[in-house]
Amino acid sequence: MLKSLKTTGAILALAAGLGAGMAGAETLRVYFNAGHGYDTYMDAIAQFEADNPGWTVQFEKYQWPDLRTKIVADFAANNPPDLLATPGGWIPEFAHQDLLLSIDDYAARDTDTFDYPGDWFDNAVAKNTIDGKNYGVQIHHTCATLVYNKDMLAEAGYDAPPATWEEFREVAAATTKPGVFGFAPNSAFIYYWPWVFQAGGDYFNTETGKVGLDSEATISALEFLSGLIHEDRSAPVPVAGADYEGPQRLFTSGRAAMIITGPWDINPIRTGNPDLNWAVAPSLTGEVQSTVQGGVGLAIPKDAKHPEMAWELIKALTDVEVEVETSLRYSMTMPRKSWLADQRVQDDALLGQFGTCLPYSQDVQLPLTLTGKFDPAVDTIIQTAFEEVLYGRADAAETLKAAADEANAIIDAK
Amino acid sequence: MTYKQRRALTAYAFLLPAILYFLVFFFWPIAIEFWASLRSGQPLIGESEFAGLKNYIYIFKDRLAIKAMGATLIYAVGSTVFTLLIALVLASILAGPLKARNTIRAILFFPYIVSFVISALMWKSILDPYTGLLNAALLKLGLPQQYWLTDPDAAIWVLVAVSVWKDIGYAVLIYIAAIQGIPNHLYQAAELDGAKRRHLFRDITLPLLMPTTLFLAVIVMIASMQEMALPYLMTGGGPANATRLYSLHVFDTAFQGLNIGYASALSFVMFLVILFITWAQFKLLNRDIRHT
Amino acid sequence: MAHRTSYPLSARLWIYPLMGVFVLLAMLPFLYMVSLSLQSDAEMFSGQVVVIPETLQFTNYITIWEKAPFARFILNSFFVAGVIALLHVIFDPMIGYVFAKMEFPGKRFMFVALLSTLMIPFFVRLIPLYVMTAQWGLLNTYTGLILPFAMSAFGIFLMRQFILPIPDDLIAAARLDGAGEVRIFIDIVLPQLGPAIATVALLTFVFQFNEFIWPLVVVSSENMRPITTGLTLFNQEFFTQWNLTAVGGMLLFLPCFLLYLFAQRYFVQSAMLSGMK
Repeated sequence: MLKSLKTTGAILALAAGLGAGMAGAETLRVYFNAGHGYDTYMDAIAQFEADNPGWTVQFEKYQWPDLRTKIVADFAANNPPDLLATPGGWIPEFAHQDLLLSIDDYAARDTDTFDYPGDWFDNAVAKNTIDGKNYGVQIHHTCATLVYNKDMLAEAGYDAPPATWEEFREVAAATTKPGVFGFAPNSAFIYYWPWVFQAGGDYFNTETGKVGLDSEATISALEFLSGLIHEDRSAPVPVAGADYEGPQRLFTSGRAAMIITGPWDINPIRTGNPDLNWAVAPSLTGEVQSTVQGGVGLAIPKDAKHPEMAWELIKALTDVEVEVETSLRYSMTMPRKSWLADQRVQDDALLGQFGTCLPYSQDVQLPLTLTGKFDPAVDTIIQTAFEEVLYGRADAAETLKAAADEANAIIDAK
Repeated sequence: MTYKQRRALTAYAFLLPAILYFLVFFFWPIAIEFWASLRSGQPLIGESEFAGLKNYIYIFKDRLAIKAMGATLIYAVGSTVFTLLIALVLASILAGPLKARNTIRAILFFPYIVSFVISALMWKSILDPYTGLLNAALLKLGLPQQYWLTDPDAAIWVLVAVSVWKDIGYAVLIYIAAIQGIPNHLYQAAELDGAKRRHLFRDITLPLLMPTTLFLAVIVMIASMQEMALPYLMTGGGPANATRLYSLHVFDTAFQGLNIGYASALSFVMFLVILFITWAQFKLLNRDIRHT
Repeated sequence: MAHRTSYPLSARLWIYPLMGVFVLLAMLPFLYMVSLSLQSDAEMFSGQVVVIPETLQFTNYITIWEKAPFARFILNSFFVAGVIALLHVIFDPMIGYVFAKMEFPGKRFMFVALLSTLMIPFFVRLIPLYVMTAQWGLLNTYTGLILPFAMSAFGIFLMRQFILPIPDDLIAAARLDGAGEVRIFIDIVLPQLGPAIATVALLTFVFQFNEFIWPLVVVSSENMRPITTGLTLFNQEFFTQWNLTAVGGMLLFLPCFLLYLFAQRYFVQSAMLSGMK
């Protein structure tokens, strides 16, 4: 007994020894999305390490939900990384809780060689500006727009993609046949909003301080979607789940004529069906032309051990040349004006099209996250109400009103 | 020192590592969470202040939490009842003279050793109404399509089915062992008394399996009340929140909502509920055991 | 009941199909995983249901080693799950023995307190545990990965169940002979626990081999990742490399399966004991 205890102790000690001494003082810790470990970034990091002898970049890749769990635990233990990649909304949220460092001093100091925020699209800068201070730099800037199967539309007698809701409904119905849907909607929360925005609605109204859930616009957007699904039967009920892949798979296999998606689906569609004849269209116009915006922002936690070097790495990763290379190789759209102006980007048919929706795209939760009153429970309540209308065929006006009251109560309590 | 005292001391000496371990790694973290459950603001992460029972009272206003509690009860009771029922039927057959029974028993245990994360994802891609294996097969056979994952009323039962699927092998194994452990002379005596063969199962096997049933019921129930991975991977809590199990709600509240204080209160309520259910199971099933 | 050598024909007519259905169901996700692990990228993204890949892509099983340090992931998984299983094998019988066969004040209270730890989901303790681990400087170490799982109420409970049926007379007689508790435990109790120990070792190993959330927060360098968190490297932001994930699933499955084959005999024996109490 005693002997085995001793053995265990020895193993434990050995293990501790193995683990210790790994994190040197000259290590820059970076949290990144697992899907974004592009070679272009790896090259930029290798270059960064060469330029800064003695420094090693510990590049840690996680899925967004995993990264979220990790960073929350890290904040609790005062052990955040030096540089943090974030999807939409985290930067204002964390900044309001005083967990992030403002990058303004660094940006002002380096403005001659690195034009932030000057060279960034205004709506990319706005995402990270809280009370006039900047807390992060966007590295990817994306929007979702209409993607369509040219052959299927042509077969139904359309040689151009729909531009308005009426046209869309018509084309969707005309391209529907047994086993094929005119349009495949996505169940993920963000994909409801192109419709709401196009109807003139909003997620949160900063003037009234209320959610826009019970507005005429939101109700009409839901009724439009419900009509596609239940009346025209030109769209399937979206499958709830933790992933985004369903509609893309239907589109790739020629079982959906139209989907709404972003540049990230270019590669899966090309790989899954190289012969598919497809194109990207401008977003639809209802009351207005609009769509949703996504992207990735880089931020430096307040308790980062090496903020100065983290800033240097931000500059290296968002360099225009790196952005252009990355976007061409990995189908990603970028936040810099000089990126969009680059001839190589302009010449790429699909990328250029995905780039055109950026100016009129909107970040869904931004108006609320900027106030510091955002709570994910609000999203859950809204999504539940949307799904009750679409799946359970509940009355839109009534359901959305009840949900709006609930969401407003949460926001007011913050 | 009396003999009794000496023995007690020996017992404590044996227990010392465990006592220390559970204090440090279980009760201390739980105490910290309890402290957090009484505070508003950002306990553990940032500034916070004492808020009394505010977090606990808020649970009654949280429609999502109440709905999640309901879904969790359906899920836990459904999983427990169906796991035990099906396992009992399968075990009764497999305990009998069946040729391939050892192989079948081993295969039924498969789901237990395949990574649950992977198998949950596999089930999702099998059951997806539009791109899944099952509907493709149904279409080939000319049968109607299923839409379980897009139906708020059906989705929770999909989760129950996957949970039963995972636990059935273990339950069957335990039941077979218990059935084979029942002494043969009991059956022979009953037959001599003129009992009909088909009553033997009801009158002898079933009552003698009560302790086993209790053990399995408690284990499956405790685990399914805490289930989070399954909805997280298969449905994301949807459609229309029908599969948002309580643990998923707590996890979201803590890690998405950064609402650590409230999430801690939610956890404590769940702890009390599980404790109560376990206690009730013991009372209920133990009474039956004594009566037989 | 056990005298017949086989079921009557009328019963076999429904028993075999019924068993066939359950066997198929039990295997289905596993078979689909095997199929996915052999599919090409094009098949995986095509949106069509592929059951048997056109050409079996055994290269997936090679690609996975090139895309990430998978050998290291496997080593990490084995080491961590192995040490935890070993710790359980050492501690659980000892503590189970105390609760099964020794009398002392506070026993009932301690036992209930112990069982109550089963009712708290792990993620509830996640943040405090993480803060402690960080304070002790154990982040990104094997010790940090192992410590929170070194003992569990379930293993102890199972051991107690196994030890309870050992006749008290046997132990009382040894005590009268002047044997100490340590002697009794080692000479009388331990030799009877073979199947139980195999069971606890198997269940603990399989469970820890599949653990995800703790390694996720504690590990911060790629070479410390176990297979589970290593696998997430194959997910893109908006889609999953299903074929490579399935290969990883196979790598997670095989060691557990081999261990199960090896421990199965003991496992069944121990089920017989635990089922009756």
